Amino acid sequence: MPTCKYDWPPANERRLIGKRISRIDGPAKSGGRAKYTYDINRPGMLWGKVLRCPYAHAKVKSIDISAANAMPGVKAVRIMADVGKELLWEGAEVAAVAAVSEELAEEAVGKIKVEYEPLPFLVKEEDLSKAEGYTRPPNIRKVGDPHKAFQDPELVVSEGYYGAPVITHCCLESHGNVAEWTGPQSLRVWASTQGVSVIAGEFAEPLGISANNVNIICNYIGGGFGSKFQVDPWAIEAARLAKDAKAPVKLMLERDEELLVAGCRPSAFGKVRVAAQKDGTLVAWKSEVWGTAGPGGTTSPPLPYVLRIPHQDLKYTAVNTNIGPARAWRAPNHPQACVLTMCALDDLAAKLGMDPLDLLMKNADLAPNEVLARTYREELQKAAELTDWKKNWHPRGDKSPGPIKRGMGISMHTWGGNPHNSRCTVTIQPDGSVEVKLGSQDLGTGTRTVINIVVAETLGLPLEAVKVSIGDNRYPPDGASGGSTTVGGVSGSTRRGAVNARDALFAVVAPSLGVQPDQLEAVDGQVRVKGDPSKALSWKQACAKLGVRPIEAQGEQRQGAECKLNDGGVGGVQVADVSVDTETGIVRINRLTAVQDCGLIIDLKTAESQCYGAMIMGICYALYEEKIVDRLTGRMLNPNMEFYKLAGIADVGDLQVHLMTGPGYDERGVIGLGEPPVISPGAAISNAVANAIGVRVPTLPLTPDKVLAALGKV
Amino acid sequence: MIPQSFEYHVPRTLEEASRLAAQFGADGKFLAGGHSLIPMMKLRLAAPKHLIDLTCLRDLAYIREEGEHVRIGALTTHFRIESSALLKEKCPLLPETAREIGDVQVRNRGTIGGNLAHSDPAADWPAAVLALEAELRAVSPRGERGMAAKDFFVDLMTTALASDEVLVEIKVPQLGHGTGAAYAKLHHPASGYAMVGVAAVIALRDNGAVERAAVGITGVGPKAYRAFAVETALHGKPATQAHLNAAAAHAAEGVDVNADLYASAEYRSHLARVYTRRALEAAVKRARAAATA
Repeated sequence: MPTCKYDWPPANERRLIGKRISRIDGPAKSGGRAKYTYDINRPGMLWGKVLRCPYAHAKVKSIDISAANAMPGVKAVRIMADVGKELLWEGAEVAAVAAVSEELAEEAVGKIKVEYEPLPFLVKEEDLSKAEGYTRPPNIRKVGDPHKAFQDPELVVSEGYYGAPVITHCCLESHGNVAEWTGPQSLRVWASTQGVSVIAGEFAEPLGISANNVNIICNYIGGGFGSKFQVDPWAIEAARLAKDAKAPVKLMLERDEELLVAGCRPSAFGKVRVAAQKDGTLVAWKSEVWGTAGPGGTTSPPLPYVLRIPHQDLKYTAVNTNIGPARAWRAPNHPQACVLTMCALDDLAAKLGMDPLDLLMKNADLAPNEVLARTYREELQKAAELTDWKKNWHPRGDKSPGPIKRGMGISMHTWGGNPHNSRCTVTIQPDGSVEVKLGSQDLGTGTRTVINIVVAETLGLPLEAVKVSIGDNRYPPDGASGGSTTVGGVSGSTRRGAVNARDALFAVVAPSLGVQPDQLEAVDGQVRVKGDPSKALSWKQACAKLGVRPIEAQGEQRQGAECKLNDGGVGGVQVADVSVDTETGIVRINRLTAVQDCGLIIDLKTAESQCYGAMIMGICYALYEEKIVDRLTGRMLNPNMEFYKLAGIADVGDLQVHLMTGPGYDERGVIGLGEPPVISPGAAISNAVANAIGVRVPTLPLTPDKVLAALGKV
Repeated sequence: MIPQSFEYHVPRTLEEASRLAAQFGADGKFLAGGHSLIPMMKLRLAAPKHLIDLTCLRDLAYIREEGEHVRIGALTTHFRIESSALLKEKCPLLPETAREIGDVQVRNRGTIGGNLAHSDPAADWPAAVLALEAELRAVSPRGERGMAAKDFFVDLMTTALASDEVLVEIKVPQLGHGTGAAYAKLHHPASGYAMVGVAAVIALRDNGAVERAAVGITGVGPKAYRAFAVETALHGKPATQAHLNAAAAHAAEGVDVNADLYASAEYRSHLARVYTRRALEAAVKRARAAATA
């Protein structure tokens, strides 16, 4: 029985929560009616384009915008990098233009004359010995006594080299904004952003206006993945161009710009030694890892990942490169940590002659806490069942005849997913209509749908009886969508807001039913007396009792808020089943299986969709993605989707998702899910390939040439 | 992604088409299905001042049997070839190749003549016509002439066609008794063009030895080519796995091998050998089946 008034309803009373419900904005999206930032067109709107630096590292020696300025139809030209400015990557902003058409703006950009002084650069960091002068002082940490532990002759020690390169976010809707001045000191921006409620200040400060005079709108976004938190320099410049030109300006990146400057996922390469007793009990870990996040430095992936091996010797070196600006990429640093750890453990299992699933099971107690340890054991068990692991797995190297080898690999991961702070307003009108408003955003994860489910469930109404208003910073503030914090945040605030609104309605309605407010319930579109359904009012009749005064209730999710509605800390296990053509090196995914927990699930369907999306994204970085930058010129060689290939539907194989629900999971409350399932695919697929062909392909992506090289064939 | 401006011409007759081409010389370009040329124009890798659209010359879309040959009009779409009952029976290599081109939309629009005249180094048809030892027939104000496929592909996107010549027909000899053919292709991951495409025709003697081998390879060099070294290595030898392997090893011999981000020259050469062997294996299997049929 609930002990706190905001608690989630018990399982037998949930009509909507946990069911498989289609996203409410699906028809608008699939029918083309959903307006993304790219779709916003304003009267008199101009098009903005940016001139970008063609060097990986250079200084501006001179810049002449006069020819561009003189072109008819060009309404504003602004210098973004003046003489003397140092530019640290290819594509860094130099100048911006606003013109009456996109083509003209592009042409005007070409008329800007810039002289650069090219400077030395580094764009490759995989070979650390060639990065001299670009490295930061290493970060060294020890746990226990690793030196002594590795000397134990009884231990089996495995050594390997693993890594994952810099990749990009490759959002299908590129970064960009439409900026329009609504008054001399007030700005409206349609922004492709992950933080509707939080970015106004970033516009306000450089523009010298008040944050409260900046209206941010984002109703739909075509992908962010961590790269759309900040206000980009070109966004500020769009506002400045709009001011100069006295007209709204749309400035969205082209595909090449999107791949050049809109975010890099930091790389991680490393040598790993790991030691275990002959029964598989993990004892010691040593890693020397390095990576780059562009010129800004980066931090070590969390190593050893997931399992707290008793003795650890950790060294991490950040390399400053000119490969581009790093941005958070879905589960920052975790996919890299997962590759470095889970591939090393898989190689250790092979050396021990042990089934890697047994190795993980044996060491599950090394998880950071009891809940996770139990979760891993249950998830490993479930993954084994779903994939018939014990029957289908074979020791390393498929011995069957023919060039096609099949293999299975396993990996596990963890993520936080605690809620961010969130506030909402729930309004009940005397005509029975209900609206919930909050300054959140739906990244495509199903946030709108989740909010709708929570409010409708709480008020005993069908989904369509509730209007969900998000995507505007004039609504009560919500956090940015990052770290898988959104579902916990918005479900926590809207549950509380809806309970408060419902209770306020009960207080008004109770006298007419001759009971106390706490004897009422809102179920099936009625407000009725608990245990006596004959004493009931329809929702409309009940709301009519409000007279002319609507209910406007607030709800808030913050740390320490009354009643525990959410939690953090999930596990997750994935199994890959692949076929490798050992003559061509081509890897095909037969099946990728995800077993994932996320506490109480609000919408099973959109939760599963999160897993599918993450697994596809995982297959992309496992098999295809790399920001390939030419060592000699410092320029990106694949800033297009022909050579920066993402998986198509024919490339992903069969995706299988199992979400852990029920006792042991539901009572934890809501936990974020957006990131965890993207962590394991790289390691699971790499392990499956090693299992198939008998040797390790050390680094992602597992491209055909690397597979053949590992086999010694090219 | 916007082509440079051009003049658009729609000739009603072959003569008119040829005359326009003669008039514009290097500034003119024929347009058939447009599925190779238009993308190049959008990328501004091609910028013809005059486009001469041949699609009104409907007489050039046909597939018919004439004696020992199958004759295919240059404006016949890939899809029509893919779905032709006549070709499936008389020259199955052509439908098999057509099936591997692009996607349904491309195959509905693109034409065999346009594809061959464009001579993209990674297009599929060149491999097939080379292996089939087809004759490519062209018309100009000077009259009509035929060219052997092996003489047609001159260099990167360059054919033996004069600028005023219109490719009108592909004349394919039917395969004889005991002959098998196959096309083995690795698709470019994004574009679907051939990273490597190998068409092989194998005729077997009654004793199982190779009477004749013809191998056309695309995607590997600056132009599609006959792999004569592979063919020579097989000639007169029994079609055993060892001989097929040994012959396939010559697949990229003497070729200036293409490289891109998906396949270095080294890897592409390796792929050429693998796919040549696979094409030979499949062709031999079919030749044996044809011999016993």
